[in-house]
Amino acid sequence: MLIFLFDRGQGFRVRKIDGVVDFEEDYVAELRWRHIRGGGSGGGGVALWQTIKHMIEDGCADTEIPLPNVNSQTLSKVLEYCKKHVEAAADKETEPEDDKETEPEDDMKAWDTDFMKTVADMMKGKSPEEFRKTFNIKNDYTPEEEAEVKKENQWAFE
Amino acid sequence: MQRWRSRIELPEPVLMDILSKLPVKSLKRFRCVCKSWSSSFQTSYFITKHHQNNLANNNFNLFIKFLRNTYGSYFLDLSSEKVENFLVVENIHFPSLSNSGYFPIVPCSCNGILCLYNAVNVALWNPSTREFKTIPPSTIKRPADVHSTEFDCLGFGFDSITDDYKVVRFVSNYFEDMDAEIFSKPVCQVELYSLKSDSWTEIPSIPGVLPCGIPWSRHYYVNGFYYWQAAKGNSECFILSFDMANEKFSTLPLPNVGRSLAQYPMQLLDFNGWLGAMYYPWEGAEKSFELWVMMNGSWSRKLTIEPIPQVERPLGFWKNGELFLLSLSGELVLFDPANRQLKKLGNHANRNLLFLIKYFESLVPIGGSLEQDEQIIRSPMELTDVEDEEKRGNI
Repeated sequence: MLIFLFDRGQGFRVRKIDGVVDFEEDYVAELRWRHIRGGGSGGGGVALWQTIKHMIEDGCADTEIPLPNVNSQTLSKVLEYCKKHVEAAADKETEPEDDKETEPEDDMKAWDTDFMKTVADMMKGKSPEEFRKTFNIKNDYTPEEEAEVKKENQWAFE
Repeated sequence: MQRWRSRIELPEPVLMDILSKLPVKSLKRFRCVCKSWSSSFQTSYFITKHHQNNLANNNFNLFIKFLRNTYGSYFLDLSSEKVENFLVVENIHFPSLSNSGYFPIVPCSCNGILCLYNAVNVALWNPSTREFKTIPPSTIKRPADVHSTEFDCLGFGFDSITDDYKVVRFVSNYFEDMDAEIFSKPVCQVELYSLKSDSWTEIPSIPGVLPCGIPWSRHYYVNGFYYWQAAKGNSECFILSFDMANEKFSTLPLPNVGRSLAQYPMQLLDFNGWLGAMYYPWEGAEKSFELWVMMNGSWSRKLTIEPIPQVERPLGFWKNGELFLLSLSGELVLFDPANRQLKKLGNHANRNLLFLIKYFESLVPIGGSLEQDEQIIRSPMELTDVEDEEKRGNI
C-alpha cells in the first residue's frame, strides 16, 4: 500500500494507491505501513502517520483528501518522517542485531528534532480554536472559564 | 469525493515536547485550548524543559538599553532574527524606575528574568510572561545616627539547590559630619533578598572589599555565581564572586594580560557558561579585542580580534561568535570574526549610552502580577516621538 502526496496549488493532498510507485515529484514518499508499528518508540511521526492512515481507512481511500490547513512544508516533513521511520523499521527487521549500526539512530534523532521544529513553527501563530481543530483537542472550559483565561492572557492575542 | 477535516493527532508526550519549543506568547494563548494544558504549562517540568530548549538552541532575545538625560533609560526590544536586521519590535519605558539611577537594571538576565532597580526600589521582571514583581523594602537594621543610605552594585542570580532567585546588594551608610562639612566614610553592609522567603537578610562580606569600575560592564552573572570587578583599598583589582547557593563571597585574580586596567578596560561576560573577560583599549580609532575565559580555575586567552576601525567598545556576542560593538558614531554594529565583516544595524546615533541585554525566553514565575502601565510601557513609538507628544500635551 502506498501513499502519494502532491501539491495541487492549494496545499497537499493525500492519496492511497496500490501498485508501483512513480517518483514524479520531489516530495513523493513511499510508505509501507505494514512496517509501521503503532505506539512503541516511534514517537510523533508514527501517530501522525496513523492519523493519515485513519483518514484513508475512514472511507477516503482512493480519493484525494484535502488538507487545507497544513502547509506544504509541514506535510512534506510529515511524509519524510514516515518514510524515515519505515526505512528504519525495515532495516531493523532485516538486520536485527548489529551493534556498530548506531548511525541511523542518531540520524533519526536529528530528524525527529527537525520534524518537531517544523510542527512547532506551524503551531506558533495559531489561535486556540484553530489549534483545537487541527490537533483534535477537546475544549473542557466552560465559556465563562475560557473567557476568564483569555482575559488573563489578553496580551498574547494581540 | 469526501471532504475531510484536516486533523493531526499526536500522543500527549509528543505534543508537549513540541509545545515546549514554542515562544511564551504562543503558550500563553494556548492556555485557552484546554484545562490540562493550562496546568501543564505551569509545572516546573515543563517550564524547565521549555527554558532548556531555548538555551540549547541559543534562542535568545535582545534588549538595547539607552540612557537619556531627561527620561532616564528605556529599552528597545529587538527582533532576534538576523535576517530582519534586528529591527526594533517594541520600545519599552520604565515610568517608575527611570527618574533616578543611571543603571536601573542588573546587566544580565537569569533564566529569562531581569532585575530592575533605582535608588530605592528593586523589582523583578519576566519580559516574556510580562510578570512584574516589586521587591519589598529591606527591613535590615542600619547603624545608629545614619544620615543617608545608598544601595549599589546589585547582583541577581539563581540558586539551583533551593530553586530560589536571589538579589544581593551593597549598602553604604553615610553619617552627617557637620563640622567637616563632608560626609564621613560610609559604613558598609551587604544584604540578600530571597524570592522564596520574600525578604532581606544581612550577610557577611569580605571586609574592605568593594565592587568598583563601571557598574554596567564590570558585573556579570554566570552559572550560579555573580561576579564584580572589585578592589580592596588602593590595591590592585581582582574579581569578587558570590555563590548564589552557599551565599558566600570569594575572590579571583584578574587574567594576567600585562596591561593596566586604566588603559585597557575589561568587560565581564558569559562565554558559553564560563566567566569571560573582554579587554580592549580605552583610546584610539582602531580597537583590538582580547577574550579571556576562566575555565577550571585558571584564565586562558580564547580569542584575539585584530584591530577594527571606528569602534568604541564591545556589547556582547551574538549566536555564532559574531560580536556586537558600539561604533564611534554611536551605532550598533555586528562584527563577524570569521570573515572580518562589519555590518551596520540601523542608525542609533546620538544616544547617550547604549548597552545590550540578552535574555532567553522563559515561563519562570516570580510571584508577581501582570505588568501595569506604571511599571512598564510597551510602545511601537520611539521615545523621541513620545517626547514630542508630551510637548504637545497629548500624553
